[in-house]
Amino acid sequence: MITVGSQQPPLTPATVLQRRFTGFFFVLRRHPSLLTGLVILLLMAFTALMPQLFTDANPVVMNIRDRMQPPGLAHPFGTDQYGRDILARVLYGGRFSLVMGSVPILLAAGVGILLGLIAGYYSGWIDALVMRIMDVWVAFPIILLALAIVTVLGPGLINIMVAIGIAWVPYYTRMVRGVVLGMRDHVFVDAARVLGLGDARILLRHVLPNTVAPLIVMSSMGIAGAILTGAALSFIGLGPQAPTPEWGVILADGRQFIRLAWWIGFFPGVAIALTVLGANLLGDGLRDWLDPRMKV
Amino acid sequence: MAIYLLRRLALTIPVIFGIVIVTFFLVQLIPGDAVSAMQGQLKMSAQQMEQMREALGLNDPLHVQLGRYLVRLAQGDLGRSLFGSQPVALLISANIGATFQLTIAGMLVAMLIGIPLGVFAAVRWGSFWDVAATVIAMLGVSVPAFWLGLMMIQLFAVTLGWLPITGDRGLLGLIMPAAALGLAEAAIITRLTRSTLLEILGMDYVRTARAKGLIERAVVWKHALRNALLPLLTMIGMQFGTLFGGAVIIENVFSRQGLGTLATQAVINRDFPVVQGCVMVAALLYVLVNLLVDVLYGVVDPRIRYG
Repeated sequence: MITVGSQQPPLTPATVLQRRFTGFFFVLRRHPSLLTGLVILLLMAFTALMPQLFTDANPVVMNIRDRMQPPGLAHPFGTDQYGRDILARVLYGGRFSLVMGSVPILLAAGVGILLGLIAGYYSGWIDALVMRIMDVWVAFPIILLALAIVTVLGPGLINIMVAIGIAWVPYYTRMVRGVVLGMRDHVFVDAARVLGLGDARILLRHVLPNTVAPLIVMSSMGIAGAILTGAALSFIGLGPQAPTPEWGVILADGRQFIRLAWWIGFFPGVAIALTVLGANLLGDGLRDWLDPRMKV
Repeated sequence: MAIYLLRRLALTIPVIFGIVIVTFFLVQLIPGDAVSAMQGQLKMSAQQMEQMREALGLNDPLHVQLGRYLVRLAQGDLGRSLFGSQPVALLISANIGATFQLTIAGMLVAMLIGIPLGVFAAVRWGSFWDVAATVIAMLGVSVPAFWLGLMMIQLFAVTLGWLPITGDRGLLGLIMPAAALGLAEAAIITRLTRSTLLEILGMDYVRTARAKGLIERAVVWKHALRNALLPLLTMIGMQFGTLFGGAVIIENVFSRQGLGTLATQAVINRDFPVVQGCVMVAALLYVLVNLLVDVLYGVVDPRIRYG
């Protein structure tokens, strides 16, 4: 595009911003799964944050006269055994899923990045020690590790988030370590060291940025996994307790009344599947865009 | 081969030891101790509690307790349930068979669906069918297995009445739990089969096979797929833990007897020795399955054995 003597428009902040935007839309057009995932997630986040725009019903107030109503005009998703509106419960429940998807992953990424950087950069016995610990750590299936942690901490939303976060740490550690090992012998790291930079600065300013792409991809897949695990744990009664409109909790109600009212369990499941699908599509699209080598 | 096996075994032993240590310390993290946890059921006086602590050895230093724990473990003693005081080892061995059966059945469902679908998509690369298979696989990993199980109960047991509603009735009762458990896994296997096969189909020996006039079916199923089975094997080993964890939830959905319902009940009752035992056994199984996969890998691919 650039030819000698051509008149380039001056680079004002506005044009830079505009270029960024057109660049972003270009990326979205090239990666349909990225676009679809983003739209689904934004939609779910919007309905979860603004449920009162879509329903007047209260998600926890009981109304026994209206119990077990099938989906209809008054209650689009029907009502449960206490006459609570399922649509309202599902909409308000979205908040819990947003939190349950993101908090554990932030926790896991934080701890995992730290351990991975240390193991990859220092290598030797530190690396061996950290990686053997990770070998033990991954041996515990996520659900069972979470069961054990909930036994210690007791059931509840915060405790299952801690449990899921802990269970995800080794995957981040292994991934970050792998990238760091590949980076360590690069000339730019040697150059930084020759310039007299300290280990912490080299790690944070020069090595860490190279892990960002795989971290973003892993995290969007991780959000999908965390939402699924969280819903499963609260479904078996280890998460938020009864009147809370959390999707796994509503599904547990649905299991109890499956012979009488299919709608109680049906709609929260669709909500979980949609959100998880959004996160998975986003992760897939991000991977194609940011890191095509990781394509599975 | 013997050296390869020994080396692999030597790597496994510290991991097993680590698992045992972690499960030991898990119980130490509990606020209070086992005796104060039992207090709720038994209504003991402070003096009785102290006597019980002394009897259980809870007042000894930690390393003494750990040593005793290891000695008992070596004798196959996992402690006793705080409720009904059955030996934990007995409870686990009574339940683990059912969970193992479900896990294997789920894996079979996953492979029977995932491998053909993946081959199908790879062979028709870029076509409508390829896109369709990819979309189905994406849906498959996103749908929660326990919800799928519930909807199957609704459709096949409640509405149509074809299958029993609980998962305890022999082979017929295994169909729905195995399907619910295996479908997400099938999606993962589909994706992996597709991408591995796509890579292999571009290789020189595939071109050679085609050039010497082999029919396409033989090229794909014999030459290409056999080589794609290696990464699949690794994946299956790694996914064993996920599947085993999934079985815990699925057992709850179908009220099926097994390690999952045992563990869940124990968590709700805060029956620490049982939870401890279940978690340890699950982790040990994971390690053993992956050891087995690595050994199989060595059997199938000589390059690994001597490499």
